[in-house]
Amino acid sequence: MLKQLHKRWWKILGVVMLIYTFTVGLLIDTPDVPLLHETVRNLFFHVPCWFAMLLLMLTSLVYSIKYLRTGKTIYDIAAVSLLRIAVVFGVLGYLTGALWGNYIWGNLVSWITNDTKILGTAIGLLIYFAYFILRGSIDDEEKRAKVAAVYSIFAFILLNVAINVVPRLTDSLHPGSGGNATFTVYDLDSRMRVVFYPAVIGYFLLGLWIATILFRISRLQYQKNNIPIE
Amino acid sequence: MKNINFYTLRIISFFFLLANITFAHAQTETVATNGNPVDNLLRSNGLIYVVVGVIVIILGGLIFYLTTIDKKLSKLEKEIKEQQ
Repeated sequence: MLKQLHKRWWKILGVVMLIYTFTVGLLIDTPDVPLLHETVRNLFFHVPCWFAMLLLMLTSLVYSIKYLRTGKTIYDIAAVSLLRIAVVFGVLGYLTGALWGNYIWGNLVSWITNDTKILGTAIGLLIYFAYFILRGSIDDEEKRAKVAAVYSIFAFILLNVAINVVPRLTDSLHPGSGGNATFTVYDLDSRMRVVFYPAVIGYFLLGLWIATILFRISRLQYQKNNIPIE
Repeated sequence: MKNINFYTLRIISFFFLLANITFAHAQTETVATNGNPVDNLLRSNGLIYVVVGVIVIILGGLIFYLTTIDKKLSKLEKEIKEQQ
């Protein structure tokens, strides 16, 4: 991310992917899945939120580890900028999921507190909210960066356990959990993949773009306060 | 301050332009029934293309806004670099 900060090609690629997703995703012929009907298209809009969140968090994790190895503040700024937008994608995924589920799984109240995967995402997001509270509570820059980097490693593992491991061991309404298969339900003829993967790339690159803007703002703030970042 | 006002004005006028384009389409749909191929396309499949158009306009507006922020930030970075 840091090397390509001022390059333009990946921003354009992301925008193209997004426009492709939002046009073809609405117009393409989808398999007629019982119960879901047209809402199967939400696979192009709701699911990439989570994929983008996980990819952004993974990138942030790389920068956290880089910070711990080198001690350069610039990596800490990159890590926190990525997490900020990742959490936004998570919240958007949660909200869109609530709307979708309200019409597919019945009344919101009956499943939102019982479904393992939703509880897992709620726990995971709260763990990441705690990351920002932790950062805010430490005044010393170096100490803050170190503690936050270590915390984010644990947070990423915990979030993945909560989202990807526990729902597979127990049961959840989501595909890919318990007895449900992940994509076979939707992907009878691979028609969905043609839009789904570009959607993930588009969301991820959009998140990356916003993250670079947040990164550059924080870098300016550090420079203004005369804190060495390299 | 003057700078910010200029940008805000430009963005607002951009959205007004977009709104005008969509509004013009909406009007032709109630009046004309055949002829214009673009109009026929927008009308087909239960007017789904109109929804696609709206979404693309929203997406385009947001991306445009993001681009202006990006440019503003680049300018600020350049100014600060020159100061130092």
